[in-house]
Amino acid sequence: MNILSSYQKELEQDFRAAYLIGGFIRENLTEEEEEELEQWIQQSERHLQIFEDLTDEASVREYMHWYYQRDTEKKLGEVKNRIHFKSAGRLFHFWKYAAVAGIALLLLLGIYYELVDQAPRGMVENHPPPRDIAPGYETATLTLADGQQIDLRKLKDTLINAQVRIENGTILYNNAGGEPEYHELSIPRKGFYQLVLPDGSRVWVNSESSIRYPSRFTGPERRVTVTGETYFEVAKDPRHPFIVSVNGVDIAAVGTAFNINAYPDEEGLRATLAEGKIKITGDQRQEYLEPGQQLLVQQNQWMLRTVDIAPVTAWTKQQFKFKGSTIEEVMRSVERWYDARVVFREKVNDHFTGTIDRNVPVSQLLKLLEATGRVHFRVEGNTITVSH
Amino acid sequence: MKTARTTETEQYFISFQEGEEAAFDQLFREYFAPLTYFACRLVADTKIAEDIVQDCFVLLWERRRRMRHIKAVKSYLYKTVRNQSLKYLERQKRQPGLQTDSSADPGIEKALIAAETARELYQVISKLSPALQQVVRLYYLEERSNKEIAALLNIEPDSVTRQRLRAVMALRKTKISL
Repeated sequence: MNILSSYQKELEQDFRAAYLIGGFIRENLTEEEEEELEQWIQQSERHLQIFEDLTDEASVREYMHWYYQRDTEKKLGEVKNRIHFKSAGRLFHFWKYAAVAGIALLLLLGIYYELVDQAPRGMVENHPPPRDIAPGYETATLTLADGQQIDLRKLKDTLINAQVRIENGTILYNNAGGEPEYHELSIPRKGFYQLVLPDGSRVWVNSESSIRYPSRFTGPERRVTVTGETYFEVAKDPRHPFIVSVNGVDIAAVGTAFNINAYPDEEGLRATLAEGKIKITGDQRQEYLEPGQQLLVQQNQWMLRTVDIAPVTAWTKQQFKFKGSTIEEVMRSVERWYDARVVFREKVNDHFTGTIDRNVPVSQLLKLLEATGRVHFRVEGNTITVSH
Repeated sequence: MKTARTTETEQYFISFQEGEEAAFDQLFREYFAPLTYFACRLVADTKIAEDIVQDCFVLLWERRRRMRHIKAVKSYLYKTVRNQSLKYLERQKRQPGLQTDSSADPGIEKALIAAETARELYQVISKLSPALQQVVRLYYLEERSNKEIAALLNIEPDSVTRQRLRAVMALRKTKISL
């Protein structure tokens, strides 16, 4: 018994040493920790040797490289065949289970292998393959209060009125006096746009989405209306709550970051909080969200669940990030971003997990999905046919 | 902050003891690579090392109810991997890859600390945004130049420098909890 606990203690010292060496490499130790590491090193010649070996740049590369080479997902799948799990229980965990249910693929960070294999990018752009679809780009139409429409892709620099001007395709508000008027920014399929609102709040607007807002915020609250998918980073102003109206629901924030997905063809309205706190009201109900929580509104049903934020907000970083997604979910994103029409010839039941830059022709995304061996695509014009 | 983290760990430990699949996945994803590294330094064969680690996870799962604390889980894994590796060498009538015969061997200790250091670093890197992870991986692990990375990721070389700086700043900011 004594031997066991002494080895336990030894192990914990080793774990602690690893933590300190890791921190040393990252140059992230507190003064106390540095001292602790110093003491550990001085304890013995062996410790000094270990410290020197493990912090050597070449050896850091060596063990990190080794680490990255493991096919953890494949090994996880193998070992799980030998284990019996209790069946999924609580609704709260739905998301996690969905994500691990049938992971067919881990594309994580896989895209650069694709890029290596490919011809230089310029060539690809000059001679697009006939059976491919180019990705979306930054584009939007601004509709002013008098109905005048401005195509932000064509009109680069112009002064619209005292309150608003366009500079290099970016809309700038200057908070000058005068009556606020309502502006509406709409993004077509195959487009996205990043907007700074008159109060400094930042909004990312995804394909097939829109936002309506005043050219200057007056009154006790800052209110905007949206459709489709938007991501907000609200400028702090506790005295003027920022309220987003969407599908009859109000989302109130003071200074916070959240994503709203209100596409009519998705499972329902989804509000996901990344940072801070938001209050959602509507339908004589209200709900407060903590970071990492998502509220799903399906007709009259409100469901609160915990989700992984990264896949939800990946689009704002110009990425697709799927985590245990069905092929239908994947293809809905494809339809909007590539302005494609998707036809399902057969039902595909697998779930897909992976990350890829959004800024690539559709063939690259489809090729990676096909690499799972679970799904096959055919592209003709802008129609994509899905089969086994 | 401290209490919030503790609760998270406690919650995790409960779901682990209850045998939830997601808890198993999380543990496996975090510890498979470092344990395999550790085992591989003992048996000097990647395939064998992977098999040993997989077996140890199965064993752990059968005995999960005996664990008193999440820290015990981690120690159990390393202990079992070490014992199984030594047993394997015994069966093969071979000296360990590191020429060792006792548990207090410096080689074993070094392998364990290396494995855990790699895990600590990997845990922090995996919390960066995917874009920064790519840059860290290409620059630091594959030793590619800014220019090459810029071409691979289709961004400006200047922005590679900026992203590298951001990655380094982020790595230094993140505190790992034990």
